[in-house]
Amino acid sequence: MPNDQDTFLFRFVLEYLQRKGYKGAAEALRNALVSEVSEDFHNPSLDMDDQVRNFLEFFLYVREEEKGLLEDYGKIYRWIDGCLEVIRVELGQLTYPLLVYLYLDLIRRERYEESLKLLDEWAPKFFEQSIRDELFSLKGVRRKEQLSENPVAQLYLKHRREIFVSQYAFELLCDFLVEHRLTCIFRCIMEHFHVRLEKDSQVIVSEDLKSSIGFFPQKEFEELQKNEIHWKPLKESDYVVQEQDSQLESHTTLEGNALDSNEEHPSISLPKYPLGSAMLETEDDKLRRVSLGGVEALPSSLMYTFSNTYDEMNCVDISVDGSVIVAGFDDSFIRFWDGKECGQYRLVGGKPLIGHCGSIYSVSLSPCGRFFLSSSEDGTVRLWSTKLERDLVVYRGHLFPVWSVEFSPLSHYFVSGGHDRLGRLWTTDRIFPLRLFGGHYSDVEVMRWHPNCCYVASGSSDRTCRLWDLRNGNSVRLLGPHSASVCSLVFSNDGKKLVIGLENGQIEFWDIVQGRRMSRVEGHKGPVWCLDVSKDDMFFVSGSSDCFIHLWNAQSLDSSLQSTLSRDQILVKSFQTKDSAVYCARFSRKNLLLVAGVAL
Amino acid sequence: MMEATLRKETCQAVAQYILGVESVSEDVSIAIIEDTEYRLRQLLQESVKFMRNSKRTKLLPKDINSALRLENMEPIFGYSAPRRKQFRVVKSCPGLYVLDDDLVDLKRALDEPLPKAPFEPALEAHWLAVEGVQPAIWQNPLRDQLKDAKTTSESVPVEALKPLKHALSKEFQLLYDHVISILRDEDGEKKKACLRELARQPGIQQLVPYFTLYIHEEVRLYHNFTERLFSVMQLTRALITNPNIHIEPYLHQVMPSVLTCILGKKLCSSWMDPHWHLRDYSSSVLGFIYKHFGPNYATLQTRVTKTLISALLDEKRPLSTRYGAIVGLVSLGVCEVQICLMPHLPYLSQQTEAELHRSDLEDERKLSLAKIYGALILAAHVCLKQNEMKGIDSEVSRNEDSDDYQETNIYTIHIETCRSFDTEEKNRILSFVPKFDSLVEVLYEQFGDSMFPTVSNYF
Repeated sequence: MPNDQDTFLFRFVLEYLQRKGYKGAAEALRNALVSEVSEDFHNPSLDMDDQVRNFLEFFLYVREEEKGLLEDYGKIYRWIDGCLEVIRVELGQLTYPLLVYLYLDLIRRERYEESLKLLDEWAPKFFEQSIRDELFSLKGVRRKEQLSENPVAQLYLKHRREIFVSQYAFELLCDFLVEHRLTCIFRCIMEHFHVRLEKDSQVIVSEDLKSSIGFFPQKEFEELQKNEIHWKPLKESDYVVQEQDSQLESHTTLEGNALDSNEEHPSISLPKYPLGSAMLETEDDKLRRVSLGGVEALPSSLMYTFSNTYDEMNCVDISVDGSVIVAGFDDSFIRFWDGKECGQYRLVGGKPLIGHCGSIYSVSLSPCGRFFLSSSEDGTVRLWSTKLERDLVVYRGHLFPVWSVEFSPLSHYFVSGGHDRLGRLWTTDRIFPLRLFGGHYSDVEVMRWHPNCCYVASGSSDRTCRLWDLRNGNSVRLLGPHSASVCSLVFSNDGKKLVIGLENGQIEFWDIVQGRRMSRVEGHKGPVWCLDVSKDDMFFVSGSSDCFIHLWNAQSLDSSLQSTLSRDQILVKSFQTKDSAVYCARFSRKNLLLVAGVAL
Repeated sequence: MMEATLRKETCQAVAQYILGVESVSEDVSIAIIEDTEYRLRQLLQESVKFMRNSKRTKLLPKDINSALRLENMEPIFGYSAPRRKQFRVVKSCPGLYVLDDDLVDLKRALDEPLPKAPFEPALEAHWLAVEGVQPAIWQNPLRDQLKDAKTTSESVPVEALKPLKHALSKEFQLLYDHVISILRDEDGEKKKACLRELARQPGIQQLVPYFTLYIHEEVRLYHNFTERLFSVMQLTRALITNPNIHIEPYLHQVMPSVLTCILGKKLCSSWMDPHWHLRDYSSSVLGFIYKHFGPNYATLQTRVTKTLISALLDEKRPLSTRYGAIVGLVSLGVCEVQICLMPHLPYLSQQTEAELHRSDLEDERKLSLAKIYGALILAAHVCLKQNEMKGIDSEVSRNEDSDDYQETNIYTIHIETCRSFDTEEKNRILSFVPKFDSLVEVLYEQFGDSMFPTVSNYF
């Protein structure tokens, strides 16, 4: 004879089967029960454990068609909004992803009208630009079939969302859900979220929580965090040919790790140069380098202003001594100016260079100033010689526009990244790439070399940055989430810090060794087009479309143990240009700040 | 942006009017419109990437076209003209925007001369900062335009300053000496470049009092050296046209020198010297000051006009002074010519003409009289011209931009226009402006036909 609880369970199972439409099974169960149980099903016992009863009742009310999903979401939104402040921050992580998942679920179940209503009503509640961008993309999804095409929807559906909440907050949430019978929301949380309970009721409440509202692969982030980074800069012996070495360039293969004498610091094989080569810093550079620091010793800055560009100029690069300036244009022209003669810059050859058949999106001069690379909409990268005034090699590999290309600090190697979401490593003497860097969910917008040539950083419009190990091609760090697309990157010369400039004008300072964000500041009012660091690591410089150049104190980042520094604490000085958007800023070897801008 | 959605009626309308499909069922149109919207969003997302990588903050038609090419679709041509097209609101139907699509006559378009080729991109290098301080050069934003990123919250305490001795740094002294020596001795390119810099550099503010003193002294000491005075006037012109410095406090020192160069009795060592040019040039400087600083500088306008009129009407003054008074008045503007000069015009012209026809004249006097007569005709013409094309301000200001010695002849434009008139033309003008008949009558009475076609005879 089954006891009361069993009876209840039977009743529950029976109702479930009936609702699900398994009539045969339900009939069979009823028959089986009738023979054994004499009691009426519709008279459940009252002395059952309250919580269990509530929970079961809750499931009993699972209806196949939840009509009031909109109201349900409203309820939970208002509830979260109205609860205690501590809990509100924790549960606040839930509101936006929940909206996305509910929306996608509705689409999946082909309840299009409701889905549209849901988004129309609740999307305006979110103001962050990153969310707006995502919602804009998601709103385009109107049919079940489009789910598989939309990258944002795919990201959400393939990954579980992680949230960190305290035990107490989660209990409160469950109670609320049960009490108000918000079954669909409960199911959505079970299906799509990975709830991590923290023992301490005080979950680390920082702005990080708020920023992680957009999509971010948390799991991968944590896994990659474990990797070790060999951040130490190169020693002189790594790239300087000793006196007895008559060979100019040694190995060009990437396998020759064993050949390196530097055991604790294995690196890819590097080209070697004799002392005094144009590729390397000379003694003169070191001797005559201006020492910077603090407010007292600020750098001098030389500005190159371009006029008559008619919005056509896309990119510009300045050589390390400021004597050669290369600019890429929308009409596939490349122009370069030579200033070796008494500061008068003249257009070399008197006419633009022609080679690409699409807009030029990036140019990069080699340290010696004799070669430069250009990347274009036509999917190719070209190597040019400034002496011959023509192109030498075409590197085909990318399928779509190549957004970024950069020479390594020792020349010879270069990296490129583009619309095909891949980064590529090349050497100048081979026309096929040596490494592919895949992992970004969206275009690779910018690539930058680590000063020790072992790593490259890539910034993407999926609002993350990655660090790639050149020796094996693996991603070793995932940095993010950022609040907007990445526009520019720079490593500090000691190799420990990475500065990231975003499209919304924010600048983030990261410690790549620990993989943590040191600071985030509202740097500019426009996209941060360029970043660089002074040769002695005293200043970072950032330039933007808002006609400002900011100098940031790199030293205070080191000395401070605070997790976040305010803008005023690290901003040293601002220069304003006369209505010129700043496209390129770099420190010369003697610490002169060279800036290129386009008059608007 | 979030609210931008397409409606199914759009699909039906497109099907009907563009593709000629009579009826599209509800389901189909909804499906099509939803897919269209999805594609549009995709397109927008891609084109924003092109915008970003072109380092622009404004989305242009070419970005959309690049995104279309990326998706293997045909770009839409005709919207990427350099002249930005503006959408206009259709009044009868709010929420509907259209592009202007003018009809172009093919023949005319072909016959038209080609538009000017755009300038080549150019590069200029300059100092943005020297050891952290932005120098005051015109390539940098001015100090009062600087929006300092670091807003200093503490207010600056107001202090009453004691009168200071103005100390000039060594660099400024060198610059001053250099500029003066160039103005005095050089001619041609170097001088031109020097004047051009003086007319735009904000950094010379410190030197302004010294320059004004120099102007004053030069005019006082060398009032017989036309060349020298001309250089001084060029300097004056450069200073007053520099938008980046404040010269208002020193105007009271400059004005007498300018007026001297217009009205001076003898601004030359021999009567063959081109002092007429000097007077013309100086009066254009005067006109500039009058128009730019007059409204803000109390009593400047009345004082100038008073001086000029008294010089004009004083019979004892030499002819050169009276000539200067006339061109000075003309340079001030039409209004002043009409109010101050017109009442005296008949008398002056009769007197001049009568004397001009005498046979026993010296060359010098004859030239002076001819000059005056020409100036009077110019004044008359300015009035006439103004009345003819009402409201279009095309007067003397037109030759304000010319720095060149030869081009400063104030009449150049007017003579050209006068030459083009003939009697019929004059009659045509008369018929056009019946309202000013009386004025033309008066002028015609005085000058006869010479007012239009024969002005040049006297020069």
